[in-house]
Amino acid sequence: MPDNKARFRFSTDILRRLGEELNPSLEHGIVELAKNSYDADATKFTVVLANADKPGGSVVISDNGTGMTPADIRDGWLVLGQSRKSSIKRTPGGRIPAGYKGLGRLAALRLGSVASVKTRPRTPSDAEYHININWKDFDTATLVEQVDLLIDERKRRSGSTTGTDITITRLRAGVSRAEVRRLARELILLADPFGQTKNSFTPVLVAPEFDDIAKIVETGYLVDADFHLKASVAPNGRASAAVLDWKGKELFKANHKQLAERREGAPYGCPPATFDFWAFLLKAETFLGRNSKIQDVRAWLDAVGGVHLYQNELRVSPYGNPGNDWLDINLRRAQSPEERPSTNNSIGKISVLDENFKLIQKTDRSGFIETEAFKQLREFAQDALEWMARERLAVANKRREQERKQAPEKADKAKAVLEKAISAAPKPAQARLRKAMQAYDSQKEKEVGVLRKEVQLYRTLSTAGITAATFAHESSGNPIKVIQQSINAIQRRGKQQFEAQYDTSFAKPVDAIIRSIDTLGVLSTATLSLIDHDKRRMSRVDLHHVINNVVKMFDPFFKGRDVELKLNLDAGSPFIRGSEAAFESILTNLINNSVSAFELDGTKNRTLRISTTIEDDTFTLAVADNGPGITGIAKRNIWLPGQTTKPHGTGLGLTIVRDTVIDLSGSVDADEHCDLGGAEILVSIPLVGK
Amino acid sequence: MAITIAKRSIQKISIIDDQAPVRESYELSVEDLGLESVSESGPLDEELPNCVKAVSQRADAAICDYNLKVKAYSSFNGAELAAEFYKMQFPAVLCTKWHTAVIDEMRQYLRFIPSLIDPSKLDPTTIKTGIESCIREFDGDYRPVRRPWRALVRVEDIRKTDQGSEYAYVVVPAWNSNEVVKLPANLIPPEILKKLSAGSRLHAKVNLGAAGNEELFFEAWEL
Repeated sequence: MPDNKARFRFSTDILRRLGEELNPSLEHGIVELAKNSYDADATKFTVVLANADKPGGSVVISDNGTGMTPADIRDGWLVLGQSRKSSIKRTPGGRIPAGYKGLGRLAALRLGSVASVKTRPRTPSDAEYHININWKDFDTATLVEQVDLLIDERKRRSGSTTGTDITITRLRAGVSRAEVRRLARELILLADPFGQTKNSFTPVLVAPEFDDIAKIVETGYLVDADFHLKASVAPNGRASAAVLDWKGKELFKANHKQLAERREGAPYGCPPATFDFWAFLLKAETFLGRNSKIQDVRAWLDAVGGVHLYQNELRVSPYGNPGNDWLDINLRRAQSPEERPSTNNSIGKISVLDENFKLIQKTDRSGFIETEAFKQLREFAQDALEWMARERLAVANKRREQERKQAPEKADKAKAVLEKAISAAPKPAQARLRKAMQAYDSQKEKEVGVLRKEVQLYRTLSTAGITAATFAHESSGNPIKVIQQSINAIQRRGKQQFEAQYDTSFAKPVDAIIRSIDTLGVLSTATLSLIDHDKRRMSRVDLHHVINNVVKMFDPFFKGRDVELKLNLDAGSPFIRGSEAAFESILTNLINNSVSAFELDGTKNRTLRISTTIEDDTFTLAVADNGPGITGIAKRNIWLPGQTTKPHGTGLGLTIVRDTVIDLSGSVDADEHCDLGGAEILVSIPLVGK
Repeated sequence: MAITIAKRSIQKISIIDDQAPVRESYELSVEDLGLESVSESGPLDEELPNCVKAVSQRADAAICDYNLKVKAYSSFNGAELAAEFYKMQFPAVLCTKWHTAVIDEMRQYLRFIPSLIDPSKLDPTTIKTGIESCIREFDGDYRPVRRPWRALVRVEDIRKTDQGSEYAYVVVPAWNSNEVVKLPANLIPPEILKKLSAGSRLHAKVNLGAAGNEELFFEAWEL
């Protein structure tokens, strides 16, 4: 090289930086080698972990792809940082190349002290090429280019097929169970765990030390799914769907118009795609008589669950990864749980045929850029899931109706059978049996009666709520406005015309009307506020903010009932993830409880204390009063539905509090007589932050 | 009799509400202000500009209720009408008891509604200050609660309701970093909206002096 020319040269340190420091996880490195195999048209890719749970073990990775010639090794495999992603030329086997940069490969090869490669290309058909990389050689050299790697040509063993074997020996560190679990997951999801694609690419994991995890890779439980949603969107953007039961029988079917209801039938502007979604009813009774065990299916779903996205047959991370609920499946379930799957009991696959790469991956490989095409693809999948939920809900409603109709008939039949059995018993026993049966019947009747009343109570309260909400709209509107404006005018004009006489003759009744209107207004505001749709949305809930709002809303009620409020909120802004409505209903019911207790007891100098404390990650809300306390009912029974000591009480307030707190993973407690003299209810909830 | 409010002579105030008893009750305050009221018994002209024109020919300012569509009185709500009045530099006071649902619908018009009064607070004084705020704002003189500032806006979520309306949930840290504000997504220009998702940050002009969520307005979005 003439003296006036220079070029970059790389220190051997760069290999460590680009390898294990940049790609520290085992699975990413091995997955990149798997992508190499995929691009080499391999149908089988095997990873063998031998004694890999401790340092010194080995990893052998082999495939039956097209192998590499010395030129492929020199100009492709050994070149790091080269991306083939832009190329959309298919492989000889018809696959769309996965593309890679080679940095993950470097990391995988550097897992051990030595990496050796044996590869058998198509031509020459009798040659096998060996290359050995001993990383120690690089440790002693200064520059990468100073270490020569020798490609050694040997005669191929007769009968051996094309392919590549990579052996990484003397592992620097042991592979952990969590790493093997992640590797298993990646391998399953890499190409086609659903076994549907032609040219299927089958990964195999052999890991004697982690046999249970390895088993998950080869086993699938799709046949155990109770519902299989099959939806597709054609190149013209029109979609269709069907839901099959576990026997493959079609349950429901939808055309584009039914699926695209929300978008009024507009076509989906995404590349053609198919969406398969399997939902499992993980109940012991549904698994009776099946070959699979419910716990195995759970473990499998735990490993591979979620809706995975495949572009041109290869999986795109992170869609469907743990914690990545990109179709809001869990959110939808939280909003309306009946007949909806969660990510824990379902698995799905969306395959997009996207030869023109309309969906563009982000450079950091963290998914697709949120283009319109991607958003429309997501909408298609969400619409299909929505449609399935609607259909399943309609069936569930029908089933309930049917069950309600059939229940008395079934009971009569069972009774007839029992009567027959009693008649067949010896005479002396018959009378005793009949008496016992009558006693049982009467007890059962009572139980049914209680349940019926409870259901009726819920329905009546819902109706009262709906009516109050309707009336609230009405009362917050016109009549109150008219009274308000008129009385204000009377006040203004009275003061002006009658001057001093106004105060003696009119001030008192006019003020009373104005105060009453304020209280009346609160009733409608409070009702409307409680039913606010947005409050039922899952989001961050600032607990102190909610308490302040509720207290403000109740203020005229407190004044109207001579209740003095003591509000002692701990420092900070504690928050949970949930719905504002949930926490609001806890506090509202506790306040209602105290206010009713004052009224019932005729408590003088009424004090209501709402206090909060934050200790570690636990938030405690304490609502205490100086009312009569918990009397006439055992403390443990106050949470039961229908249990009340108030003549017109529903007995549901504290049940709602307890159920809601349980939903928020918290706990409830009560003090019959706190320092104020009355009851104190304590609600503890785990916090997300403070 | 006419009075001068912010250098503008006001003699007649139009009362727009679909209920006659409500209109009559509002008239009491207008009378006490010493002004003449013009009761709009409706139905209003179906075309918004025509309606604004007709009202402005009969009066110098307006008091307008929000719910105008309950009966066959109007084809638009009071917020749309008040905003249109503003654009025509005709002072109008919007009188409504706001709750969340109303604010959601009203948000897109709030930029053009300087005077929002709860019916319980409507009296001669508030009518006068309401009209004054409008006229001053026409001349670029904003009250501190109405002055728009360029502010950072963080998107928390964008989602559609079951009824299909799309909303953006945003936080304006310079106003209140703990409160999420709900906006109709159509308030954001479509070319910007399509690039937004949870976690996106952008700028908009927001009246940072607003005391409450119900007064906040957004305009001039930039990504």
